[in-house]
Amino acid sequence: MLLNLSRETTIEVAGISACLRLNEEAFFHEVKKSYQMFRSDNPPDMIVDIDIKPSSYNRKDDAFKISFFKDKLVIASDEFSGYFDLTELKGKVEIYSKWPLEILGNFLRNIYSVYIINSGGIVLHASGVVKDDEAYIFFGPSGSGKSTVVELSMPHIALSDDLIVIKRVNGRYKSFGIPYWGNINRNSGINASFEIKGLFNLVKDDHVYLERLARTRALAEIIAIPDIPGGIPLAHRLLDRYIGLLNHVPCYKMHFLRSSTFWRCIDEEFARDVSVKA
Amino acid sequence: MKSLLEMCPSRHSRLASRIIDGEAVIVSPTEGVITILNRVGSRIWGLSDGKKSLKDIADIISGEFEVTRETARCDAQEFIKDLSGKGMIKLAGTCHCEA
Repeated sequence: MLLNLSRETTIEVAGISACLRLNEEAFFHEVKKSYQMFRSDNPPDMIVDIDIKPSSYNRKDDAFKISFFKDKLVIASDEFSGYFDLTELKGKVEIYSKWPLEILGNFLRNIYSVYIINSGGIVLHASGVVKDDEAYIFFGPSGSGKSTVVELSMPHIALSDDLIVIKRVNGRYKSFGIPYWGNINRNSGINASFEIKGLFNLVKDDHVYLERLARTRALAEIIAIPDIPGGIPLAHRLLDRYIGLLNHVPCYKMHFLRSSTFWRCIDEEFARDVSVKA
Repeated sequence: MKSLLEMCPSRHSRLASRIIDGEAVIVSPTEGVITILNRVGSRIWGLSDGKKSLKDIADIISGEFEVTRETARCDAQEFIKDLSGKGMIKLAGTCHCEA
């Protein structure tokens, strides 16, 4: 067996593979370990060079700026600066942070999001839980309870508590596990996809109940046109993708309080749905 | 000067919209604003193609919904004025008819 002396590893997220090339040995092993569930032998769709720089910077603000110059996505903060060329599908990030793994996750999450949207997928600010091999997607603004739902759903598998990737595969809408998390610190995540059973718009309330949303209302709640190049043509394409999703997957407003009883509500709703169809 | 009824409203090109189950969902990507119209408003929105005058649109509404022609014309003018004020509709004096 030949020794692999290069510091590069390929990961695959939502069916999209990225070759990560690193300049620093210790961080290379850290990245390999952190993304081990997502390692892939497939030829890469994109290449990302990662340069680790020495840092003594103490974080004051973890906000970062995203901008576009022609087909180049540029992302920068006090702890990193990087770009991704959407035409050449190559990118580079220089990280000068005490938390390089977290920073790399932020960078990859953004370039993956743009790539997925550009290639026909949907990216939602949402959490996802797998129950009986089907995915339940919970969406809403920050603070609406996306991470809480994941915590309350243990020991069910979680896809993410922050970002959900949806793609149409053979006419069915599937959600993919990703290695990018929000409030909940998961080391890896699950590298698998699951057909979506339902979409749930979270609303905090003093009791738990579901309210089926008409497609118009569901579209208005779920739609998020990201600020990426594409303008109106992209907005039209995204509207069609969301409508396609809502044609196949029911959407509910989920009134809930911090209790796992919402699963009983969901189970009853789908049991009723099945009996009505029968 | 033409009256509002003689003008031809058209949906602004900086907006993306779809009509689902008779209701229009309108998105302004630059402002991040989403608007949902009721069924009558959605029908007027759908008919606002820059080719039909508001008078023609109001007459179609009168034929499709239970409303007199006069009421339809009055309500359509108010509605289009409102959308025009929000920059969602453009008003042209000359209707652009297909050749």
